[in-house]
Amino acid sequence: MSWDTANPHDRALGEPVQSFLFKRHRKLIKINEEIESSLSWRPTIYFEASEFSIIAADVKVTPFPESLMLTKTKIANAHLPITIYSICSEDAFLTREGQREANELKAHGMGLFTVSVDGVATKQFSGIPIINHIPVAEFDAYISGIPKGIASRINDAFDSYNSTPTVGVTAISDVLEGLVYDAIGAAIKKGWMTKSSATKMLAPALDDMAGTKEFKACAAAIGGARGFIKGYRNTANHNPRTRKAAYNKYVKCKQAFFAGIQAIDSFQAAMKSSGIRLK
Amino acid sequence: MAKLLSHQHLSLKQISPDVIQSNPDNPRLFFRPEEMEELEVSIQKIGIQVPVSVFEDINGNFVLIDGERRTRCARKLNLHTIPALVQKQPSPLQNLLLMSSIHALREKWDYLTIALNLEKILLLYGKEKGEKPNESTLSKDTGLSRGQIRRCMLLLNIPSHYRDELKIELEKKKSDQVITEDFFLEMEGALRAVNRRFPEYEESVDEIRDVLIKKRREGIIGAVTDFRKLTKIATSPENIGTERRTIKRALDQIFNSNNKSTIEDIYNETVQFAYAEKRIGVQVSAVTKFIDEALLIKVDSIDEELLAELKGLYFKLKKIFKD
Repeated sequence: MSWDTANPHDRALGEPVQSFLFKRHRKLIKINEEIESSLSWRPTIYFEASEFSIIAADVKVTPFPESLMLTKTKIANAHLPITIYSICSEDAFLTREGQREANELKAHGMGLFTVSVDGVATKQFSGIPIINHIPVAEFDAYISGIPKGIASRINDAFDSYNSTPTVGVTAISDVLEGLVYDAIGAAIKKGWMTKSSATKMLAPALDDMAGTKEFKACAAAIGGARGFIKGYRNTANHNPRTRKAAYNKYVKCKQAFFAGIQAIDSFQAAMKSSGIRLK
Repeated sequence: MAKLLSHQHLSLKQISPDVIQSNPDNPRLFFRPEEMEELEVSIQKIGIQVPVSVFEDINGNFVLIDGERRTRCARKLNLHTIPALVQKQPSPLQNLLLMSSIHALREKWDYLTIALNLEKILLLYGKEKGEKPNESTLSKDTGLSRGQIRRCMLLLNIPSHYRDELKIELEKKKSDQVITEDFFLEMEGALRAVNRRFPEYEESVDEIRDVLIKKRREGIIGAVTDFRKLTKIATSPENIGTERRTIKRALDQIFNSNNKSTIEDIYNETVQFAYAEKRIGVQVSAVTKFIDEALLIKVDSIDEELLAELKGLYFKLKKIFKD
């Protein structure tokens, strides 16, 4: 379809965003077309960012009207890796109500484009695939018992996750990895482990820890960290081959991120009980 | 109307919104995004409750008579089918009259939309029936009141660039519209009254319109009903005997873009008191007439409250004339 049959309002706001996205992605952008027959929504514009990832943007009167909330629910149930953007006028975004709605939109994992009166499109913030979205309240509940310093590092990983989920999973793995090497360093200082463990790859370094008698009581937490590394560490690097695989990968991102937080929490708590305080 | 459409046979079908074509004669020009959003939410929640109306043309295509917004929302929501009342292809005039009647009775179009539809109806009426319909026939066939038809005619008579300005305004949310249809309707009515009595303004009527639009945008014309005061100013020489040159001066002030006085200010300065005097004069005549009639009947048959009011008035008048 073309812009010819679109509402003038949709066209005035949709066309600048179409140009914006085309300049950056060089992909064929579809206008008012269905994504899948079973999905009861035709976004104003959409394109396949990668073989298994779809970016869709819908022109709205305000940043987050009721229709978009209903759409989000449908997409969450459709098992498709779709990232949703709202497109609204800059004027609507700049009102007090517009700001409130924009914050709500962001909290729901969706992105926002605004278009000025002279037709310039601006990306206000990015969205993530809806199936990856982790509500802030859920995240806060997960990190509530974790020491401040470590929680702050997890927060940074969450920021990365909210921009690109696979990068967020890598970031949470890095936090865990850092804590493991910090614990090994402390154990070396205490004379529990030898210096050679500090230079090993993560998996054998964890095996060394598991074999240390002072960490005997920490076996479950060390095993948890080892399991996380094995199961999720490379989520970001594996390209899915089918749409289903893509869906699984994206769902895995969310699971991986939560599993990472859990592994970190158990690990720091186990280390604390054995006399090593991690920050 | 019933006669015009008596041969129509309706059937209810489920049709894909993608195969429904827009009616080339549908004058609905404005799909305000706020209203589309409301409809979209409603359809998402409860579906399409009222079937759209279409006709099947000779090529088997379905063409919309009524339900453009519902069809657009259905496409947006990727609905596979929607309920549609299907009828045979009407003649071009029947087609327009059908659309007009549906919208006059149920879903109100903007006046400009109705006016543009009416313009086409008048043209086709002439072609099909050999004569233009009078206001009464037009009212019966379109379902519009005669007042609505007159308002439409006023909008049709404004120059096209003002219509374009109005079209831009009509795209906006109703609460954001400044130069509204009502503004044009009231302004045109007032300007007609001015031009009829002061033909010297006729030549510069577009410049006057520009000034009034500017003043509206600047907030100097606060309410569109201020134009009724402009009409009263223009008609005051014949109504209350104001001097023409006083009124000419007042009108010059209103039509001067540098003059920041409101129509109400100028009305109050020039004719407000005289109109109030005239109104009171009429009321005094009515009271006098009543008293004349009351003298013929017994005074004690007059309502007590009214009698008390009359007594109060008597003492006030007595005091005024004694002083």
